[in-house]
Order: sequence, then C-alpha cells, then structure tokens
Amino acid sequence: MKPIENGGPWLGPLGRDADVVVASRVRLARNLAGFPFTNRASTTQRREVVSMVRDRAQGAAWGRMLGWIDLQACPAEQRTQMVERHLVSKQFAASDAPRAVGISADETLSVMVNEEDHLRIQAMYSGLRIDECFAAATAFDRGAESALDFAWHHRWGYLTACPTNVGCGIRVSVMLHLPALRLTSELDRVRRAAKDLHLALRGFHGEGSEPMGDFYQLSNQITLGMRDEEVVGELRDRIIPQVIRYERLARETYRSKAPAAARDRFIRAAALLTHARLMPLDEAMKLLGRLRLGIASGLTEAIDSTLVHRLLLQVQPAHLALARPSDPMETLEQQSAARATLLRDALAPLRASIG
Amino acid sequence: MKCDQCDKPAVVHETVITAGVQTTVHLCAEHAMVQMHHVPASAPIAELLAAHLTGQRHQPACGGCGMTLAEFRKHNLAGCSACFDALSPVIDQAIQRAQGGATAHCGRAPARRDDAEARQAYRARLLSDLEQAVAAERYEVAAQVRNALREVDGITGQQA
Repeated sequence: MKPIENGGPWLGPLGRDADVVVASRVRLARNLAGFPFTNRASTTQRREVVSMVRDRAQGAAWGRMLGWIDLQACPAEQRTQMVERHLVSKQFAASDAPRAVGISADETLSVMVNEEDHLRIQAMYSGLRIDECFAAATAFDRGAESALDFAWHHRWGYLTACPTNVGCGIRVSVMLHLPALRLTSELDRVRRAAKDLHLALRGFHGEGSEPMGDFYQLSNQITLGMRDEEVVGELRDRIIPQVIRYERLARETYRSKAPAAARDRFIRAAALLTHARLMPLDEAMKLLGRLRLGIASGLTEAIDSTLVHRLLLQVQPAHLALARPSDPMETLEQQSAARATLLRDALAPLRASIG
Repeated sequence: MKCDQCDKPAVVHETVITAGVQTTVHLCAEHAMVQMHHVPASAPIAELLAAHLTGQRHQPACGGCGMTLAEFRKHNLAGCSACFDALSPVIDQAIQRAQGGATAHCGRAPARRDDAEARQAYRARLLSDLEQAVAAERYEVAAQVRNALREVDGITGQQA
C-alpha cells in the first residue's frame, strides 16, 4: 500500500462543514444470483465469486480503476492497516475464507468481495460530500449490474444476507466530531433522537466500536420501502445539518460560558501531544480530538485539521508498525513510545506556537 | 373446539406423529404452556413455541441452501435468494422488524429488469403471488403484492 501522504479519502481537502464533519461514506450491498450468500457458500463457490467479480471489473470501464488485493495472500499487518483506513471491515480482515478487495488508486472507492454479502461497494470522501459518495458507488453498481446478475426479489428488492440491508442495500454514514455535545451532556439526546429516526450512532470504526476522541458515525438503518435517493436526501438535507447546528450551538455555549476552560483544554492537549514520551492509543485519539476542536474554534493557526486527520490514522497500531519498520514494537510500551515520537515530530510547529 | 385437558376453548391444534402413529391434540393456552414445560430441558423450547405461534410444526428448510428456520433465527442471516420464499413468513417478519415496519422495496431495480420480457415475467409472478396470498387469506401480503404490481404497471405505463 502506498504512503499515506499520497491519498486516503479523508485526507483530502476538508470540504463543507469540516468543523464538524470528518468524512462521508456510502455503501451498497449486493449479491450474485445463482450463488449461495457468503455464509453458505463453499470454498470453491467463494473462489468463483471472487474471480467472477474481479475478472469482469478488470475488463470493463466501470471497474478498471480498482487494484485487487487477495486477502488470503495479504500479511496480517496490512489487513489491519486496511481496517484502520476504513477500506475493509474488521470481520472481513479477520476471516480466513477466499475473499478480495478492489481499491481505487485514490482510495475513494473500495469493493469487498465475500464480506457478509458478495459485494460491498463503498465510496468515501472527506467532509460532507454524501452526493459524491452516492454518485461514485452508484456508477460502479450500474456498471457491475451490466455484467453481473444481482440477486433480486419482487417484494424485497436487492437481496442481502442480513434483513437489515434488504431493499436498496444502501448505508449512508457520516463521520462526525461531536466533542461539545458530549461535554454539555447532550449526546444522549442526540442518540435518542437518532434511534427514533431509525439512525445509528456508532464509534470511530463503525459497528461494535467504541467512540474514540469524540468521533462518531451516524448512519441510516432503514433500507426498505425508501428509494436510495430518499435515504441520501434525508441525511444530507435534514438530519446531518441539524446535528451540525446542535454541535455548533453547544460549542458556542461552552466557549462563551467557560472561555478560559476551553482554551486550557486545548493547551493541555497540545502540551501533552508535543512533550509526552509515551502515548497510548486511546489517549492519543482523545487529545487529537481536543486539538481538532481547538483548530475549529480558532485557537491556533499553526496546524490545520488535515494534519490531525492524518495523525488519527498514523497513530493506529498497524500504520505505526508499517511506517517505522526499524522501531521495536513488540510491547505496548514500545508502541506507545513510537507513537509519542511520531506525534512530537509531526506537531513541532504547534509546540513552537504554544511556547 | 374444547381443550383435551379442560373445558376452555382450544387455541393450539397440533398433529403429532410418533412411531408412525398420528394423533391430533387440541389444547388451551394454559395447557399448551404446561405441555411445553414437560418437554425435556435440552429441547429448544423457544423454537417449539415460536413454531406453534407461526402454525408450523415441522420446520421447513430452504431448497436452495438447506437453511432451516432454527439456523436462520440463530444467526439472523439468509443463506441464499431462495430463503426469502422458503422461510416465509418468518423471514418476512424478521425483515419488517429490522426495517421499522416497511413491507416492500420501492425504487431502483437492476437495469436488466427493464427488458419488456423480464417485466412481463415479473408481473406474471406477482399476479400468481397475489392469487396465492388471497387464497391463503394473507391480506397484508396481498396488499403489498398489489402495491408492487401497481409500481410495475406504473413503470410500464411511463415507458409505453
């Protein structure tokens, strides 16, 4: 995998509403007609599915942009790195059955073959760019369906292994930074409202993950009885703008009520990140989150959020190990030391500015 | 019809075949529960109870992939396209529960469905589904199939 500086869908330009929105993603679930779903497919059938999808994609304009990685032949560390970059799911990386992922050069498009469904088509961009994600995923989907027969049912639409994806098979998710809503204890209200609207609020790495650094993913749960454009439109026009407004309001309130505390929080985070000799992952995420809030609040101009986003990736274990092959990384302490060094180096401009 | 064990009306009617001998039992809710508790502890009581509620004593398996209702319930995953018909109505209920009560897909279909021939075949299948649903007095399903039929006719109308 190429050096991280050259790409990564959330490392691009920050885009609209970047003070709150980190990245947007659209995922489509599809299965091939005539094959059992992944959970019932034999090893031979799974291999057939991989080669059928890959061969047809490689020979066509709609799929030629993907470079393919055979997960069975891929070292564990690289698989974990793809999870950290949100290119594949954790379960997909951990499985040992035949499976593959196609990734575009700029990493905005990735297609997992033999995840829970035969195809998981995913498009990701930085900032609030749901439309671009939807367009990219749909373009691949339409191309693919000209060459592959997708499982379809007269009543249930696109068929998927799990009932939660049946219908249009779409999952729109937006990664949000919500530190002020948590600080003002209003996150539970957002969570309840999200539940009522059939949305899920999850942690940094999606399903089953813990929130880290106040980063959350908000995504639709309903895929049946709504057109895919409606699902996209509802999140883009109604729900996400509302959450952004709430978070900005909470930031305003926090800043005006406790301006010294807000500044102190930022300075402490900056001081620790630029001086600590050991930095565990959860602490790094938490402090980087505070840094991001400080940047959005205009507390520093020494660094910008793109650097913070890049660091959010680079501090993850597999990224750290692959970027520093000569550093010893056997123990958590060694890992923490390497992480602390990386952060001190990257944030040198910030150290100078806080004096 | 009265319960075999008391005078209350029977709500569970069950045909049991034991060693080739067929017997029919009629039980009120209370005695049905009591009988369930007499089932050896290792048996999946919830499965049996659910089977009673859906009126299915013998669990069907999917002809496409061999998935049984018990396996579907355990993992909440379908095994192949055929499961969606073979495991109905249990799978229908699971989908509707997961989908906030939505009962049918609307919107895009694979492009090849736009072929006139495929659309006619699809329409014919919907009509037969509708007949079957009405015959089985499954009016909710019938209403959904009718909506799907209207949607197909809408598409046909626009393109004609």
